[in-house]
Amino acid sequence: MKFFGYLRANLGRNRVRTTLTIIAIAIAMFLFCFLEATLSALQTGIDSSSDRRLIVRNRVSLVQPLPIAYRSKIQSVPGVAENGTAFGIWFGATWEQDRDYFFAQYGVNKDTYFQINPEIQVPKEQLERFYADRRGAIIGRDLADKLAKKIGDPIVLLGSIYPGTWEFTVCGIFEGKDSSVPEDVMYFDYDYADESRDESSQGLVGFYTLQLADGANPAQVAEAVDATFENDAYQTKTETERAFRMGFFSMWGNVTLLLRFVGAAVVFTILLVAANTMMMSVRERTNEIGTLKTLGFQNRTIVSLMLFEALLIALIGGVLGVGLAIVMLNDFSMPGGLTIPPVPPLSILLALGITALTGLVSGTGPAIMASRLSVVAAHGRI
Amino acid sequence: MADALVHVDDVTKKYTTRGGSVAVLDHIDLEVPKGDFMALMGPSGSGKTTLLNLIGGLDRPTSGRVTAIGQEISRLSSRELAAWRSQHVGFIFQFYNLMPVLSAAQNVELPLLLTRMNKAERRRQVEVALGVVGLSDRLKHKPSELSGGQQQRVAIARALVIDPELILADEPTGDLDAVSARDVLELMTRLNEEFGKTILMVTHDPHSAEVAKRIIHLDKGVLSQEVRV
Repeated sequence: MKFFGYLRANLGRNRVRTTLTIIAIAIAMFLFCFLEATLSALQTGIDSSSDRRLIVRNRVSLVQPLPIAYRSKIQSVPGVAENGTAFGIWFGATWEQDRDYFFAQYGVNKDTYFQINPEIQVPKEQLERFYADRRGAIIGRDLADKLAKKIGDPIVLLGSIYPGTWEFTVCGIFEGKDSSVPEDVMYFDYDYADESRDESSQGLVGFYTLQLADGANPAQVAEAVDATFENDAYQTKTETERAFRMGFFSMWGNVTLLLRFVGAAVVFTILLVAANTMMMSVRERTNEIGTLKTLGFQNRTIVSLMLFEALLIALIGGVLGVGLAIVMLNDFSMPGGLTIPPVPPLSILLALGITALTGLVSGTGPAIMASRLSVVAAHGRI
Repeated sequence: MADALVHVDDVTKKYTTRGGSVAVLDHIDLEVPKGDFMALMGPSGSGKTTLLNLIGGLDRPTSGRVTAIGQEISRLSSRELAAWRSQHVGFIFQFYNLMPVLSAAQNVELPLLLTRMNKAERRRQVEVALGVVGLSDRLKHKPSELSGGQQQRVAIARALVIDPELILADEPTGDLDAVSARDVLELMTRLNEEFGKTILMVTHDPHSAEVAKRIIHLDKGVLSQEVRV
């Protein structure tokens, strides 16, 4: 502690350089937290999925539809629970008040969708209100907070897949069973959207969700569903919800690996920057280090001072970057609909750990250099 | 000499260069009595600084023995030497060697950071040391805000603050104007006479050397002459 004054004074030795290094580390840690939060968002989607639900989609592509008439056939497949089918469409509209703010909207069948997806918890009276209102919508708690909507408020969307101006009324606000259930989603009546289409396009859905009966084997049921439509115009691909979501993310490639690679590259680059800064700082201070040694400072004290200085610079930058990420990534919505959740606590600890490690590693080389410096060589002469 | 503070016995110091081994000091014998003020003179390359380094425990002899303040320092490890220096020797440099980012008080406090003194005690010691050199009103000034003479006085305060038995000064007036040099020499004389500090000063300047009690000449690694002032 008694060396703190010396450390603090050294941080102010070259303020521009110290500030730039701190900013570089802060940006790196912000980016790291951003990537971690993005990964967390992707993982949350997978974690919230169930192995006891199957998703049925068009075999060709997710964007290709399936006929609504398939529902009864799917329901009759052995292993599907009673009243165990639901369906939905991806609506893809934008909010009239802020077209840059994107959130997911699904048109779903009213009768079973929320029974099959019990993790979406809607109060009973609100659900009844939703059933009674053709333009009714159920939105998540997070979305309600972001849009500043309460029950009874209108929400106006501008359609793209379903062109036109769409007016909805908030009938219910759901809360997820746990934090893995995204609450920035809107559900509304499928029929409301379907009726707006011309007759040739009506009666098509984007996906089916089906609940497995107790004891049913997911693989066997999936196979049976796909076999049912094998010779139809719209062939299906059925898989567990978890496999479906993982497959969805894998369409981007190995996102996790990519993001982790970017994160590692950023951290490594900053490590080099910080190490270079410390090296320059030590070279500038050769004479001073010699003087400290002359005065009786032990090598271990000088090494500690160097390491603490590097650690202090790194931690200031790291705390700034992580703090900025905590403030800015509080339900940050990316263009395209992925909402970045708050930075997970474990990622915060990891970021601070990496920051500390960066500081120590970047300071180690210069510290060893300083400790090896001979007093006579440092001064040339005393 | 029984009460000698420093004994240099048959010391040789060789440096190895590409051209071979060069003896900078060649079988030197020297004794510095306690309370002495000795000036070490000689041409450039004569080995003055090397001798000072050996006596100050900054370097080790190739052969021979250096004993200072009752300790055979030529046998100490680097760690032991550092601890020994921090307790017994004050150093004064030609170019002051102050930390530019620290204030005068913080510079003087540096050697005390290695002691067990608490902050209040360190502060008191720093104020006393800066008072001795006449800079009580410059505690918070950075070196860049002080003149050369004042900076050297801060350096002297830093050497003095641990209350060392031995002060080693290498060209302490070499970078100063005549007036500042005179002030610094007067201060060093005072440290010797009033505070009883043993001082070994390297200098080129015969006028500076005149303040010493003894003048030693070193030439080509050999002590050639001793003059009692």
